Amino acid sequence: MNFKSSFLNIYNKRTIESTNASKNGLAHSISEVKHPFKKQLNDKKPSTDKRQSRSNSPTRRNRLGNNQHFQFSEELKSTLTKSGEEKILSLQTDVEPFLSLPTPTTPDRKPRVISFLPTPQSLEKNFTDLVITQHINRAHPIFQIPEILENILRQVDEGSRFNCMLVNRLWSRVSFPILSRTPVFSSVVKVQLFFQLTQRTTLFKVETMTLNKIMQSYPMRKREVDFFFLSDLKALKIHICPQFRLPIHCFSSMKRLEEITITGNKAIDDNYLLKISPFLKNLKHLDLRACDNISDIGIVSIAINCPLLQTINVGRHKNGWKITDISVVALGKYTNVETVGVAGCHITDTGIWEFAKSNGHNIRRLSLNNCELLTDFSVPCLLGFNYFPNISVLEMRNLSKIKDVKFIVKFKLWQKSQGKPLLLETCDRLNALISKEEEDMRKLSCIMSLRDMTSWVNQDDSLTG
Amino acid sequence: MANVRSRHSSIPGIKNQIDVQVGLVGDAQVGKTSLMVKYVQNIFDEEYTQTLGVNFLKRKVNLRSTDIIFSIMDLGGQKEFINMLPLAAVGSSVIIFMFDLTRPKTLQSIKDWFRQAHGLNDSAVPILVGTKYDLSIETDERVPGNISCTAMRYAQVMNAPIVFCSTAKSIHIQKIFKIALAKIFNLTLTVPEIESIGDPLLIYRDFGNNVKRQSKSSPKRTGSMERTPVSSQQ
Repeated sequence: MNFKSSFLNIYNKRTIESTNASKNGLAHSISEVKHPFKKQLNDKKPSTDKRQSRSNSPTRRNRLGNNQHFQFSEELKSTLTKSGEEKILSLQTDVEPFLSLPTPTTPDRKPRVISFLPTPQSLEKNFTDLVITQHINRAHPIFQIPEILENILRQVDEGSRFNCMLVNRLWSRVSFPILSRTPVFSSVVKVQLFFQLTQRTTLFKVETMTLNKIMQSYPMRKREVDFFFLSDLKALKIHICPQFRLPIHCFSSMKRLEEITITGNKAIDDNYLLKISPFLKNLKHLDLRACDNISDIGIVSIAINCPLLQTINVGRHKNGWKITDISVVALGKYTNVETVGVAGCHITDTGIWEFAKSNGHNIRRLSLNNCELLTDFSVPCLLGFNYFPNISVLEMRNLSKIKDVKFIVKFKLWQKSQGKPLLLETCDRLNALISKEEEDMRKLSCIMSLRDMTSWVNQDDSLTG
Repeated sequence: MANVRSRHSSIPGIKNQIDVQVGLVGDAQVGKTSLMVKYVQNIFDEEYTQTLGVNFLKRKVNLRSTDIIFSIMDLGGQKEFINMLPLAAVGSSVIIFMFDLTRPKTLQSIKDWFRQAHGLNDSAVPILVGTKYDLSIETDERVPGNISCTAMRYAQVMNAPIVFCSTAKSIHIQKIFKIALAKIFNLTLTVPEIESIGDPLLIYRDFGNNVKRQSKSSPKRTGSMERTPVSSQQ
């Protein structure tokens, strides 16, 4: 609402300015007209002021008859100096034929407009405010060329784009499409304002919507949000909004949704996932880290309904017992997932073996931090048997039951020699084990290669020369 | 249990890779390019082609646990290419000084080559190689005898193993590079030496062992797991 009123305010001021200028005709510059006019107005009664302001307002002009117009001009005449009199008269003759023409009907502006100019005091204030509008006009012309303005606004960071939209009509028009493609909101007010604006415009596509740190539970009233504008949404990111959740029905219109990031959310549970997962046929990336209330049930429904899933992260610090082997096996069975984050979950050796058997060849990144049930027979063993041939990132911090790192080292060195190094993120304990093992292996291989070279140089090569 | 698992492991063993850079220097027409081409491609061409600047070929030797890559830099023998000597000398772990057994003059200029190359890189193993052994035995008998004696004295001064070879008849071509490798890594060679004048000499035991780098070298450096060239470190 603020935006609308402030804009109308500016618009109104401008029209007054322009009509005054044209009616006076003698105006060499706007400021010249303004000051004598202002002086005179101070002496007048409020009632005439009101009429005058009405007649100045462009929407009311067509309602006023010619009589009123002349009456107005009579008044005006008395306020003006003698030298201006002739010119006013000549102007009237110029204007008259146009007044008789039917003016195109414009949507009725609400009479609220008038309320801005009720008293001489406020009128005076408004006229002095005209300096500001002049200032805008004096702004560098570069800000009035839409193409250049668009290039400038593209560089503006996401937080300020919203403010750019509120500068003036041109800025709003230019920055709206940019903002609407990847809107980022961090307060409820902005979300609501944006949704109101989107109700008016239909020619845009929201591709990525990001919400940051909104603490309220559900800021959007159903009446306000139709969600039709989210039909092209590709990525939905909701960071640290503990109580926030989009209504389930809005997912039914998001046919192209590929990425959902909802972190640290308490409001999302299995029930919610069960209801939205049938709509997420194209989902590729799902990040639900630190959403403690999700358990195997939700993940299984995602696995069954999202065959294109590539990335999933259900890492957490609390409620690790809610995610078990069932989730992992389901993901392995129904999807070709490439990146899996199950940090802090209760995965066992059996689960990871099942998963590796069905989906190990697709795995590129695997995070198993704090999965304390895993032992030597899980990942180290699987790596040794080359169940994860394409893995490039492996996180295994704080796996207290893993003691034998021979295969991990062997695999790591082998990958390195293949030119696709494995990034291994481990805790200090495992790091120490790994570097010791690496050193041992290096020594052994040195001895091996020295032995091989010795036997080669001593080989009889009398036949080959 | 661990053994059983490792037998089933489908991860192949990692191959070490050792890069050895070898520089070939010596007067024009002694057969540097021929030696390189013979060793790498096993081809011998009678026709002479002058080397302009530096030639470069690689040969890879596959051993069970290790790949040895010989990068051979062959410097043109003409005096105008002397300013390119750093290309062949700097970074090489072996510099092979070559002279023509049929032209004693080429042996004399070895002094010059050695001084220059040694100034650029004193940690490389020098090897003194006499070429065209097959042609030298066809000429007057005294000449090869004299040149053998002189060459042995040179070898002593240079502290370099000495090898007489023939590219055309494939004599001692492989030996040169095996000696080079053995000297770099301080390996034990058991190949019998040939010391009698007139025969193709092959003397290596007493030479090239006290090169600076050997005091510094540790077993760690010899087999690098990474693809870092060993030679350049030495």
